[in-house]
Amino acid sequence: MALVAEKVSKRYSGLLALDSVSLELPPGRILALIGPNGAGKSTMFEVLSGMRKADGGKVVLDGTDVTELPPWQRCRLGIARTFQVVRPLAAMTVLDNVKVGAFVRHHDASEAEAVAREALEQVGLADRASQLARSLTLLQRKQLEVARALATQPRYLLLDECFAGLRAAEQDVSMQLVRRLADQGLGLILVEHSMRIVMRLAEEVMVLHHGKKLAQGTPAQIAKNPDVRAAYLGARDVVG
Amino acid sequence: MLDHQPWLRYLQPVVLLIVAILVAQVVPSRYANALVLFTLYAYISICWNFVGGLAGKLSLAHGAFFGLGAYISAVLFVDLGVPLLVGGVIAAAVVAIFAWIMSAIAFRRRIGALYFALLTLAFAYVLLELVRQYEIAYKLLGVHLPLVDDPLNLIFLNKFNSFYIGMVMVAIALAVWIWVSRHRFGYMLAAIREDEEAAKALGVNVPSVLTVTMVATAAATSFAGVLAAGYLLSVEANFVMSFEWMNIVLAVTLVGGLGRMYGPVVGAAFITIIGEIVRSLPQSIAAGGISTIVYGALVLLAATLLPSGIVGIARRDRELVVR
Amino acid sequence: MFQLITTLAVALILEGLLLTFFGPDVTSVHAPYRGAAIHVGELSISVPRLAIGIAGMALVGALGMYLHRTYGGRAMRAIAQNAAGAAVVGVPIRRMSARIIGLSTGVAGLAGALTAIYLPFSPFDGFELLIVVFIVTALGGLGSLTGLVVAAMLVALVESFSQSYLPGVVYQPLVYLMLIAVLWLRPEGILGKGRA
Repeated sequence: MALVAEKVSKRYSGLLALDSVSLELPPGRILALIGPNGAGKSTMFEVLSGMRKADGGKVVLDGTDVTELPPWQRCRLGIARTFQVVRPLAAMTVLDNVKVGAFVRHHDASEAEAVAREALEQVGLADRASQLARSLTLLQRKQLEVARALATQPRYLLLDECFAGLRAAEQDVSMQLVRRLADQGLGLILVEHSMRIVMRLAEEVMVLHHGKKLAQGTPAQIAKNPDVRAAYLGARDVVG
Repeated sequence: MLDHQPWLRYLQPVVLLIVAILVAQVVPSRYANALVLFTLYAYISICWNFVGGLAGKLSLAHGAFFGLGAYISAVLFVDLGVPLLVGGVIAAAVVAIFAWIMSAIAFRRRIGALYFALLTLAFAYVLLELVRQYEIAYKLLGVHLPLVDDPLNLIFLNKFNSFYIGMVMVAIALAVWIWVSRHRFGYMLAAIREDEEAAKALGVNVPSVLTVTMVATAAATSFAGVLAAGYLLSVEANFVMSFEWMNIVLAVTLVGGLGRMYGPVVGAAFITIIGEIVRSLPQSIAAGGISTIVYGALVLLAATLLPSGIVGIARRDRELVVR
Repeated sequence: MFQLITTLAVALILEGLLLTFFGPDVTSVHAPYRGAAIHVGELSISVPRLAIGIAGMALVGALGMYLHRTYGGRAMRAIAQNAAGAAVVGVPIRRMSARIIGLSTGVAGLAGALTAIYLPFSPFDGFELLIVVFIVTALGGLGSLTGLVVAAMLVALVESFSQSYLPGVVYQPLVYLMLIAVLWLRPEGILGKGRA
């Protein structure tokens, strides 16, 4: 039972964005995917979620080979994601946004609404249910993305830089949410740039560099890894 | 936002229908033609609104779907004696096939809004050309239905009866709109309109949903053609397949309110009145192009100055599909 | 979507104006030089057609020079690739956008005037030509002048041959069928341009 990427490769007209990268995410695990810009992190999300087809390798979800499946089917099978640049359904209300997600598993409108309200409770947006999505602040939009993804009742959640642009206090709130989700059994992959968050939140860290897996291990191991330091962390000691 | 008695909403189209019937009792018969046109405009535009307003796709083919429905059912009736309503079902099936082919090209690949519009335009012209070639091949100047009171074939001596049938169709279309916009399908369409990529990640089978919408609205639109055939009694390619109908649908829906439930109804009322004014102009001014200019200008004004339409001014964000 | 609708509305209004002032019939220019021809051995080349062809290529060449050698042209290409980036380096977006529309409309009008020298025309030609234009851009790739020229020649050849060898029922809607075929077979060049 895991979300598995087996030697996945992806090419964008000549540029090898992902070079035979493998990854395994069991339920309840928080995995951080880090690396310099252009390392292939977002590409990995695209391939895992099905937005882009892998050029090589397989994606296996809880034993089912989903490599050829389109994004909506993978969503139904249990993978949800947020986007690096938030994509709210702007002209719809917060509640309606989340209902779209809820409709994946609940075809009845009132059931979907109940599930949607629950998801909004979890992220703390319940009192903004009838607000239009386009009127939300950045933090609220990120919360909305998470709520929407949660409403699809996934087993694995891909969070793409969901802490970016948030103040430290806001980040703490989000970190608590991520922790809670993992405790509930959700497998999470975080693409992150903030070492503060990675060190505190992640149980496992994978470092990508130029599309290849550079290192994998616990946060402490990664922080001490000389290759990682050279490529990404720089000379400063960031284990805090 | 969830009503505690959702079925009350379905009363609205019924009330509208009753009011329309009552109003028709006191309207002078010289306006009967305008009333029938009103129902045609409103009904076709509601069907188009699912694609244009809910899904956010600019389809320019629905005018041709209407015309094809009129033409096929008329030909089957006049040449083969097929009852008009049966012919209408056959026509709807033919239209559905074309719509399905169009959808297969449009939605299976990512072609972008501009090329989608052009694809639908191309289909509209292909259909027009097919009907024209049919007329040339059989040396026809249109198909003509006999003027005898024939209710089962939607031919009425009293024009108001066509109006009543038309209003029933409008009421049904509105009821379908209510249902769709409150249930899963409507949410999926709105999600596609707002952000197709996000919709995919949220479990929406985008190509499938759009295809179903396109085919269903195409078939529904073709039924308006059946009513038109029984009413106009003279069905020619250059009239029913003209792009003018599409121009009218755009004017009606944009002026009334794109994506709004009553947008097409309000817009149709407005456009019908304008149409009557244009038709009553002295011939010297009302040369062939005037109506095109007027409707085109209304589309332009609505698109640039009043994107949310008349309904948009009146209401504030109460509906699912807000601009 | 509203952008598309707006330009469509303008096209319809223009067509309506033409209909109102000139009627729906097909007309053509009667000029004394219409039949002029140069004879090269067994071939007879029509002078007006030759002139239109040369003028057309000159126009394309001039446009190419404008787009690649002048500030204005480069600014336009910049906007097409990344409007925000262009703004940040000082390109006046609104003014340039207006110029782009003005330029393309003007060139289109000029092309129309050139064609009218030799070919018959009616108010309804606009939409049919629109389809041809987009077949050419779909085939030739948005933004590549050479690609467009090659694609245009290809489309013109197909049209000419079809007129002689295909039955009327297929030839009339030919351009529309071609667009459908191109969209079916080669959609890669047609990803909506970002926010278009």
